[in-house]
Amino acid sequence: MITLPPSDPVCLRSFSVLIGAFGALLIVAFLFLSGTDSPLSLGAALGFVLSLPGLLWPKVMSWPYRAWNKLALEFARWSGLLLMVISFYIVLVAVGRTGSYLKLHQPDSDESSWVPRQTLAPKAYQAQYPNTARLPLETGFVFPFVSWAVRSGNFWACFLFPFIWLFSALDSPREHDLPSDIYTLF
Amino acid sequence: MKTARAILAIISSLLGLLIVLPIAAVAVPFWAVAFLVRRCSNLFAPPSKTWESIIGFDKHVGWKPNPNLDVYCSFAVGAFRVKTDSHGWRGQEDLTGCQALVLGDSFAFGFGVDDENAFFSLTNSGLHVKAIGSPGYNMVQEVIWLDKVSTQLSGKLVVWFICLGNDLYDNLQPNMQNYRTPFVREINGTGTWEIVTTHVRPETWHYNVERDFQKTRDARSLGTFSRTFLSERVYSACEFLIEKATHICRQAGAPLVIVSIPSMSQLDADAWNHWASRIGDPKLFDRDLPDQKLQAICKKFEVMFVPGSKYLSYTDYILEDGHWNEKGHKRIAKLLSSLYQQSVLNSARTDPASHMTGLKPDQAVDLFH
Repeated sequence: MITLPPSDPVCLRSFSVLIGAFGALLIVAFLFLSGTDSPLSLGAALGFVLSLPGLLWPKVMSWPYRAWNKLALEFARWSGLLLMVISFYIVLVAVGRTGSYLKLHQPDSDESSWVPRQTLAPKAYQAQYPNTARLPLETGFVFPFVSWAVRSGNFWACFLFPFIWLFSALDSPREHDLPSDIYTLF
Repeated sequence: MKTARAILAIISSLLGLLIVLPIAAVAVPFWAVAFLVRRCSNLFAPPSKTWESIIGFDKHVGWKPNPNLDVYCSFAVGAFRVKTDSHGWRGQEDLTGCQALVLGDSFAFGFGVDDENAFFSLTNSGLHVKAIGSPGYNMVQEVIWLDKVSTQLSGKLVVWFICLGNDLYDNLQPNMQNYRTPFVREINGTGTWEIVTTHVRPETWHYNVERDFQKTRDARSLGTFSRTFLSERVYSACEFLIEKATHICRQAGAPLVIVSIPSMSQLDADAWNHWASRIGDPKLFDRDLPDQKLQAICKKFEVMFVPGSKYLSYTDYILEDGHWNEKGHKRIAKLLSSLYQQSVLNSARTDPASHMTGLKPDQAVDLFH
């Protein structure tokens, strides 16, 4: 996720420290290049001064924090769209040129289109769709995705993985999105 | 075909990645800042407790916040500082010295904000407010508290926050998650109700989040926002409780005002449609129904009713949590000040020598901008 967490004093302080650290790095680099004596201590001191107001009065950082978040949200929105276009028109369209596995044909008059279903063991009644690869929840989406691609003969889908990973990194809550299930106590 | 596909996929994805590279390069600083802010936050965050660990068993109402607390309480977006008095209520005021008493659930508790940013600390014009509320309370528990403090209510303005998202339905439930809670029960289909507390004990109620959460959420929504048999029961029980509270306040000589607290989704058409479609057919749900019903009940008992949706907006809430943010608390503090001022004005007009006689049922509230 590239957006910042909702602004509270703790996050504002962290943001302020980051700005201080980044400022210190820039100052050190500048002083080092200009040949000043002891650029490290001077840079650290200036970085500390830079982050001090935000540490003492976190609300000072509200505006830059919101501005950064807004920028990140806009970037996520546009780049997500662009990513979708690229992955569809370049990868999926190219793969689609190889044809389809689906054998669509008109059934003969006496031919049934029903696919016989396998009987499940009684103990599987709670989860009626057979899941041959039962995976622990904490494995994330990488392993299940790759395992599905290999099992189903869609190995090519593994090459979509960098795009999917980028999508997940750019995924950010929209301003009007309600959490799917607020488990809050009212 | 599989090999051809894989080869084409490799070539096209490499080409695609080349084009995507500039996007990834720009994304890195954003990602790094977000990652580091989250990591650094752990260093600055004070040690906090969950809301469950700051409440204790109470034989009358099931639970209440522990007294003399000064802790950070964790919630969806961090932690907020909670200080409680010797009775377990937040805020500096004590009940005897206050001019207005606010009764309610987590909204009255000020869930999600530090003490100094909660409505009970923000009222201007010298209004002293005491808030009696705890996370998870239903209206039954609030009526029990009102009864318990009734001897100290004379001349005080009583403002009752009714959270539309859950309070109305929860009145009929014997439990709030794992906690046993007083509830109301209809007496043998007579249409009259009684408060039940016999089951209230420290032992936990069998509640399973995975099994019960969605079921309760759906029933709560149908009981509150749709015209069903369940909602008839919900509003009948609500009427019983409002009548009881009105009686207690009249006996004590304290004007009562009921303020409805809308849930966040009620305040935005898109959010409402999104929410309703998750439960069922959006046409079944009416977001204005609770206010209409409460208005009618209050009119019947000549109690002033303030629909919170008129004074609150979507941006007054913490998106990830659903309680008021600092802006929302400021608006509520302003509303309380206005209610109190109008209550005083009214009593001066009717009988200058008397205590406050209260507000008229249909009186509009001017927020004194």
